[in-house]
Amino acid sequence: MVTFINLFELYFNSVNMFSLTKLEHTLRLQPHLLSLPLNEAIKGELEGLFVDKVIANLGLCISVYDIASIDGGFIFANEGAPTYTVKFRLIIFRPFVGEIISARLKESNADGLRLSLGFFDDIYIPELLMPEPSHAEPDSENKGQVKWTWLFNDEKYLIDGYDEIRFRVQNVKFPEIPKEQKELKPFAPMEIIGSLASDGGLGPISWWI
Amino acid sequence: MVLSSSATEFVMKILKENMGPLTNFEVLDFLRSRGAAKDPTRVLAPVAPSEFKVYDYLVHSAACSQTRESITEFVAKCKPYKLTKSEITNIINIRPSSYVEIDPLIENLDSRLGESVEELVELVVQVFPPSSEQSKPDENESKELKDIM
Repeated sequence: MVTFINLFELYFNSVNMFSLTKLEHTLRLQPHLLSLPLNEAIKGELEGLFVDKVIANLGLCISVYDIASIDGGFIFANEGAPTYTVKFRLIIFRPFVGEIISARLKESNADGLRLSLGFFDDIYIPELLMPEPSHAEPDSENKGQVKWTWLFNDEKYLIDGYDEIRFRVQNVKFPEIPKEQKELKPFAPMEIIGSLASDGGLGPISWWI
Repeated sequence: MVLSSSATEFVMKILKENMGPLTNFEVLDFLRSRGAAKDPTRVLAPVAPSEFKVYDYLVHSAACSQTRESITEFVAKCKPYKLTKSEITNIINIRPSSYVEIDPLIENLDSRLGESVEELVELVVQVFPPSSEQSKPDENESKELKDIM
């Protein structure tokens, strides 16, 4: 008979790309929301504020996991809406260094690869962290893009984006918000740098299975 | 005259960062409990479009066919191999089914596990049934690489 063990406790001091973080936030609830049950109205507000947003140095917020407490409900002078202080938990996405993740190819250019998980797509494999030796050829079908090929034992292994690519997390960065928009690329508040260097097993899954 | 109150300073406070990891399975389970799996229109369930993207990612990963029981079972049964918590996480998330797949997940694989790598791979495959994505082998180049490594 299997006893139910809370996976949380089992995993304490462990790591994963997903984790729970407890936060406290004070917000004003607009009057048109007051007909909803308080819990729902607050949850809706929190979701609007946090879901799919990066909290600097913490990670990408995936979901509002639960609400621990709601305090307040006072209406301050000069305001037409009650203020609440809420304690709640968010599911945060932030891979650990050394984590092995499967992703899809999004872009392939002279700097390296850009990969995507669907819900997060600022993953970069720089040229230096490609499997050695690799070289790039211009992609005839996509202007500005290249096709990367790994040369091993006189065989060429192409990264064509057809299947999933496994990489190792090298670094997770939270760049500072630039004062001016210098490049054409939109600012990414969180970036994952990955590596495909290994003795086998990293890179497109079709190379290994 | 303007009266200001301290409550208008809406500063978010982090009370406890990283309270504990959630396995990929638990995040998938959480999204399922909100109805992510049951709504083909994707507008009725209380799940945001970004949350659906997380759901789509997880449902195409090894987490899709995992359960609380299978994860607990694996964690218990892999104790003899003295893996670190990160290695256990990587194995659970990737579900390697061969030597070459498990190699990048464990440091100093040969010196630490030696002969028992195959045993560990067997354990993984036995405890975690394959998801539909993982049971499609690609014939061509793969056989050569796998044999060489």
